[in-house]
Amino acid sequence: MAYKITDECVKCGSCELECPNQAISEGDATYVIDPDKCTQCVGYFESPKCAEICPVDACVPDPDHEESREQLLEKWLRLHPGETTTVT
Amino acid sequence: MAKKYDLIVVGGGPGGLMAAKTAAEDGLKVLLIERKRNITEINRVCSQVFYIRKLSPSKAGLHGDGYIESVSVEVAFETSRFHFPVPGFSLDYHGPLTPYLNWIQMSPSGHRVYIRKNNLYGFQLSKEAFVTELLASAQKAGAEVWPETIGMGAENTPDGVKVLVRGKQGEQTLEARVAIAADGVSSKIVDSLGLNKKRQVLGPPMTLVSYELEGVETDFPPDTWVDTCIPSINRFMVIFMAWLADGKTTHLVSGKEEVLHKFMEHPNFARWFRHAQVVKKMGHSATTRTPIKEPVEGNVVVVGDAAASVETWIQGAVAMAYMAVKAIEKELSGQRGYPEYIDWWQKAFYMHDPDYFPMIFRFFALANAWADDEEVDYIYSLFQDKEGWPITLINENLELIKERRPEFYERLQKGYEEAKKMFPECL
Repeated sequence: MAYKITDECVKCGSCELECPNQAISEGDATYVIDPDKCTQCVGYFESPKCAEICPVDACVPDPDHEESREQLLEKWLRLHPGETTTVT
Repeated sequence: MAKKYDLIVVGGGPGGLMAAKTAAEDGLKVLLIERKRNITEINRVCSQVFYIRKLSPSKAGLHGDGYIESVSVEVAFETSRFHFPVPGFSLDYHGPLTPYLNWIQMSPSGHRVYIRKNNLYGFQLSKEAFVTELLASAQKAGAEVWPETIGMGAENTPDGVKVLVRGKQGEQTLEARVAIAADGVSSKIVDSLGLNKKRQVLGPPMTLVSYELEGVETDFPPDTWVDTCIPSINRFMVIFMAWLADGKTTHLVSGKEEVLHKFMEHPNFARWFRHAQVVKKMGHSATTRTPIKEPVEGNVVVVGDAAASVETWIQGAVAMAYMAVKAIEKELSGQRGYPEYIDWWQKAFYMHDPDYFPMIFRFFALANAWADDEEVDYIYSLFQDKEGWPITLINENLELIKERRPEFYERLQKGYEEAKKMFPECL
């Protein structure tokens, strides 16, 4: 599934810089993850970078966007046509 | 045809804004881009302090994370100005400002070792007020400013630089004669130029959370900065306590939130926080690396935290931005400016001193990674009437420690040896 950012977010912006898919941007009350662009870092890293970096643990799996590892990998390939993943 | 600027500044913090203001006031055509919507709203942890004294980087120095005269600041209250005497410029500032006279290191049971006692060493300012004035000056001087625009990377060309940016409308490539990377410690511009390849990563990302609190009741006057070392609460960082420039809001900073809660609930300190309320929370988390030795790559000049191991402080970024723009102007007029800039950078900050990382790692070896609460209490009680950093006092009294606490001494030495293996390039 994609990740989402909860109300714990303090808008420090650390996550936006870590996301390898540029899926994170500034919203009104929190930063926001675009579920169409989030592959949970499948394709790039072993685990989600935003969750790893967030100082207040505001990046969590989004139950409204359940996706299998295969689906996430497919999404990565769609977002990065012609490229190969660094981690599968 | 892409619009061509003289200078594109990536990043709208104090460094970037100072660069845009300085360059625009000197007549350059400047564009500043900043990823946040609101440039003057600060949500990232920052101590918001100006240091006024030259702080020695020597082993006996009073500030372990010191800086040198070239970024020192004088405060002129009568004219509402900050004066940077060495680079030779002044800035207006009409925001709140309170003095720092005392700096205390505190142990888990409350032993106080003074780094500074009744001795003016700095000022607490409001970063939001400061950047608001910088932004206004930059725009008044004609700098173009695009918020909600992030610099994704830079590419040098024979006669300039291309900057790839992403904003609400999507991505575009902008061109300039020169670019400044002032986009902070996780700079995308620095990364895109391959400048991180030569830098060593210094462990897992450094995470900070800060609380602004009202209703805190301590016996510290607001002219005091307190660092409390409690290894059982946080092995890797002390808890910083200070007061904001309004003179009444308490500023508490440390690692993750649970550290702050544990401090506020600690039996020795909980009484201070009985009636306290959190009015603002901020965060910050980023990878720390060894600094960039030569912060110029083709037609891109790196400024501020983007070139540093952790930070250059507000005043460091501001002075560095000024020096960068002056160097750029020299280069644009056919003279050499970058060698002098690089030389200035290497002398201006203690982080380049070969003693810096050993000192930092010794500090962590003592206070956090290998000591327990009782040992910190013991050490601080030994130095309770002295002025100085506990770590420098320890280094100066190693034989005493070895004699009185041989097991602890051995653990310190062992910890330091382990750190040397992990970070051979720094130690």
